[in-house]
Amino acid sequence: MFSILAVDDSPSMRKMVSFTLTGAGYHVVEAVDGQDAFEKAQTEKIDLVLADQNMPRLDGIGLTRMLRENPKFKTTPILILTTESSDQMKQAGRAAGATGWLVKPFDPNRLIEVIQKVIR
Amino acid sequence: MQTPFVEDGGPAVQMPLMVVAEVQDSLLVVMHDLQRLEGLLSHACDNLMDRFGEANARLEGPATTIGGPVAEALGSLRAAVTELQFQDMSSQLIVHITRVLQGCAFRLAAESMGREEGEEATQVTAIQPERPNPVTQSEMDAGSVELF
Repeated sequence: MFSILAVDDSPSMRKMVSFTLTGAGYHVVEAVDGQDAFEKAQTEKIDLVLADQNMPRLDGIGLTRMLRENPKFKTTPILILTTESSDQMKQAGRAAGATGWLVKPFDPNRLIEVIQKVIR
Repeated sequence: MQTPFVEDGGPAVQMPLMVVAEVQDSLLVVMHDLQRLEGLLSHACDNLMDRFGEANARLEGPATTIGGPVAEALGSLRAAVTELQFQDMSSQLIVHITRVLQGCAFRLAAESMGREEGEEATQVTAIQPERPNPVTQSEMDAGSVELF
């Protein structure tokens, strides 16, 4: 079973992401911000990261940059799921090593399609 | 009593200190109301999520075997996940608006009454948001997807 690290500081968003992904057969590890996610990524088996951008302590782009520095996460898909839709922010995400940029709100079916496309 | 006339920079407007105080009070009232609104939204969303979870748990088992209306109901529940994200977006908007208002209230106080001894000049800029509002969406349709 693929394991997905779902990172969001909003409890309701974490619930909805978790509800959507567990319903599609994925194991979900939840993290409350980028720092929490980075710590969990060191100890858990993670096949994909789905992270919010605006979070306390460490944002999604910062998390992406830190994960990409670790050889273990060189090729792990990292998707940013955020309310931010500016090209400038997307390019920053791309430069940090993100695999894709998803603008909230997400459609559950579309999210699962995207994950199936990028997960290995 | 009127606020001091600003001499450096562009045109300045004099405003009675009482008016400044009233505007500042109004800003603080609006901030307080926004915080209450955020609390109400959060409470409503928690309840909705609980009901949502209960309904899903009741439907999930039989839907896979029976199909028909039960499966359709489950599909509708899953589709509602998009709309249920209103709380996250509203909350981000409220936080942003509150910071802008708080920045205005502090600036009004600082410009009209001066800073107290020891008060940092950077206080206003520290409160105001660093970037434009991240929530630019005006409806609850699903957002875009871009793979790099």
